[in-house]
Amino acid sequence: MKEGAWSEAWTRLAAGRVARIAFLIMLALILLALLGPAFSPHASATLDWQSVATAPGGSSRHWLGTDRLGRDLFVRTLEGARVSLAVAAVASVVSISIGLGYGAVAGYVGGHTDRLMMRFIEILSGLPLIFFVIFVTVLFGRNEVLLFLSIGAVGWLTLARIVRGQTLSVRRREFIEAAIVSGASGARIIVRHVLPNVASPAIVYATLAIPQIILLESFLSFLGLGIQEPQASLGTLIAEGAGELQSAPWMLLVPGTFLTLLLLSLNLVGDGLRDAFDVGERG
Amino acid sequence: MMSYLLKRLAGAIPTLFIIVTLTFFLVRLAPGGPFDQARRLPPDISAHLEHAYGLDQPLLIQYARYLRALAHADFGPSFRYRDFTVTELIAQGLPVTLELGTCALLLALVVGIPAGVFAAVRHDEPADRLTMLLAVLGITIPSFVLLPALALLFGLELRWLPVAGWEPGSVRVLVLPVVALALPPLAYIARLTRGSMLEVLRSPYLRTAVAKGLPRHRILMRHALRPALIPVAGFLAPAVASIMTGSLVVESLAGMPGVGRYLVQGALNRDYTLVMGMVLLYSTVLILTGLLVDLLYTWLDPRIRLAR
Amino acid sequence: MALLDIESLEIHYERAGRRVETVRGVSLAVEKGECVGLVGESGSGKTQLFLASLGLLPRDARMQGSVRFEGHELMGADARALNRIRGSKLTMIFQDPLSALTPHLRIGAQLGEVLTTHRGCSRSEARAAALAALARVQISEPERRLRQYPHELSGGQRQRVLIAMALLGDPCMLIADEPTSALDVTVQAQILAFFETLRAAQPLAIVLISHDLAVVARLAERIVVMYAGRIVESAPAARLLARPRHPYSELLVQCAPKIGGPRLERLPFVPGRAPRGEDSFVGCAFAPRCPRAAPRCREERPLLETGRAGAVACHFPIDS
Repeated sequence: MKEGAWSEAWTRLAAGRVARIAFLIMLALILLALLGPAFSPHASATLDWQSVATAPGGSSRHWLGTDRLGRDLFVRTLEGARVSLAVAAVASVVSISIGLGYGAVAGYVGGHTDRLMMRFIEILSGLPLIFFVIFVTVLFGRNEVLLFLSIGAVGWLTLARIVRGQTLSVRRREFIEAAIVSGASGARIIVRHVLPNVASPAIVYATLAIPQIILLESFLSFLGLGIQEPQASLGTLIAEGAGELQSAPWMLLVPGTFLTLLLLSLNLVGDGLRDAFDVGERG
Repeated sequence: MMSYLLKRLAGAIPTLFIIVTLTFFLVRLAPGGPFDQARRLPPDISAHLEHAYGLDQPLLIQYARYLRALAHADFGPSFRYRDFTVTELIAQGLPVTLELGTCALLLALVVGIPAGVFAAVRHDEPADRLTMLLAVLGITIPSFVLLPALALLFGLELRWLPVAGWEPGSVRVLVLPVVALALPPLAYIARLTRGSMLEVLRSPYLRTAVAKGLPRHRILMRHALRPALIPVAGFLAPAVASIMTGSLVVESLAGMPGVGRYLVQGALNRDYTLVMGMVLLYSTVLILTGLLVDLLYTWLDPRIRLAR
Repeated sequence: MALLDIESLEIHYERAGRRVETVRGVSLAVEKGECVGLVGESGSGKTQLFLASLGLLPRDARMQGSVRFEGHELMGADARALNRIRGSKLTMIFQDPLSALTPHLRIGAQLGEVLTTHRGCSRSEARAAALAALARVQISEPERRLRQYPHELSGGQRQRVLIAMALLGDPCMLIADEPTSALDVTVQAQILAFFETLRAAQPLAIVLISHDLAVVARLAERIVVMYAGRIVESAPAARLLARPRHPYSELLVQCAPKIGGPRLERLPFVPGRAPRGEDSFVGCAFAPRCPRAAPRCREERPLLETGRAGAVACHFPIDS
């Protein structure tokens, strides 16, 4: 992607009002999650027995209410979001690395290897991989590394396809031939020449994959398969809240709204980026 | 057609065989067993149980036995629900899950397709933008947030619908879970339909239809809709998968006695046969969906032939 | 009163912030029973002119001017009003007959709906009429064609189906947009021969749009040459073919392949780049490619001036 294309894509992204607002919301939510708890007078672990299960606004000290143990819900939610974001960050790095690596190798090597690798992707995309993730996490316990790996293993298929296509077209250009002639190794060629050219679709798909990953992590945590106490992610908070629907509905609504807003803004930014960069498959 | 169906069904057997084999060994690979959960059993009872269920045999023998039973459509006894066979458990829960899932899928199609057509016809107008914004929202809201929120609003506040529970034949208990389950695929279908409809609306044959002086609804319904549905058909299998995953939480949140809980619970309890039964069930549903999609394709586009 | 009367029609689009002009002020009248050939390179606006007349342009097209058919204004008419005319009195056939037919509907259904819509025919009446129409365009095995899908027919058969469809409504005017370009030479000749017999049999006005002067030469009584969204010359066919007055027409006449002669992959066209909708011109749009261009041509746009034997838009027309 040319230098100018980046700034043009940025201009176009900023031109879409929806995407621009979504971007600001996304930024605000992420900053809130990262920095917010530090500014709050309440620590998430503090049990405030004077105000157990207080409704939002019912106590001046707890802006968005507390849970059954008197923990400040706002701080809990922000910390849960931080955990969710951290899992998403690691899992997307896993996912993008697999996607980039797999796609680049398939596209670069070509021939039978390529056909075989693409066939494998086809088979995988026919399977409901979420089941696989649930299965693995259930069977092999609450291992965080495993959680990251299995969540990350789901979102890379589309990216790999796109990267492969880009690699194929890049490979046909002369400068790759020149690099081969000058004796550069395959890995070096991929890193130096192919990856920079697939950067923009990679960014777009990362943005689109992150909300999926956050959703999957919340889903697993909701089922009790992901993040465990005393750690809490948005999913576990929502699961707790769903159990207190009658007595303390805000326990569901606060983390639920946060999660929905986060996913919505990420999705809208991703859509905006995809339109701005004008890359592949719509839907 | 008939012979095609039979061939496809026969072709599914190797796929199922691979799935069964992989799951069988994956489940056994996991640490723990069905009888060392919760409270420790005295070793002699434990050994007795393991013997009774054949778990003391070498793995390959167990595998062979399981396959032989499967060939006779016997999924074996459940390790956890001791008085039930897996077949009985599934037979009890499946109607509930099927009802929930089918309703959700139908709702997703019946609302999603017209919404997409509407947005395409109003391309770039505020109505289109609003519909698509709602669609992103629909794709975004997780069912495990939506269902409790709906229950809060319509169940606890307005008292229009029951919050949870199950009564055979009652529509009222189905409404909220079905809506929560249907929304993500519904929104996705609306987006897909809009996209493909926009493409079809630009196609030369649609111009011919307009030039023929046909009324608009006839152009949309007869000339545009079918080709626009091809990507939607392609999304059916992922939609079914998404509804199946969603039903795992929706059933438990709504207190519905479906099969959804068996997969996670079965795996947590190392209830080997139950997990295998559930995996087989889900795989079969997905394979049948794939078959249905292929038949749909030939109807949507007569140029597509059923291969071989 | 002319059957179709286009007056000062202008069409433009706003695409990515740029103004794209496809028709830059065209007036053209087609009389009852007349056969007009409309010639020009792709992008000259010849198809847009008639798509606009039938209300077939994309929604973002901006139009000015007037198009009257039998005295009724079509510009700005709503779909309901247009539907009373298009498909019955005024019909059009399109360039690529495969993509112009709906892939998932049988030929019989696609033909029949013209009559059920416009005439209120019953299904069986429509079927009988469709069969007759197929027989009329000399398609082989018309019975069988009714039950077939477009992809099961050959290119020539599909074009015949489109013609049959356009004739079903018993039109008084038929617009044929590149009706033979997608076909091979033999079929091309057959289709043109059919148009000839058709014109002999009934008083049907035909507008034949083509980039190929040879195709037009065979049928048209009058030939209109378009360039860069404007008419540059309009004259009786025999006169224009024998003595073109606009330098562009002259080049077209020189380049025209003979029917039945070797098929040319690309027309050995006028050197230089064909103008595009984004271009704007101070002087004559053809000046950059014109062998006879003088300084005046680049500064002042020549207007279409009507003389004894047709009209030409050139400061220095040939033979003057």
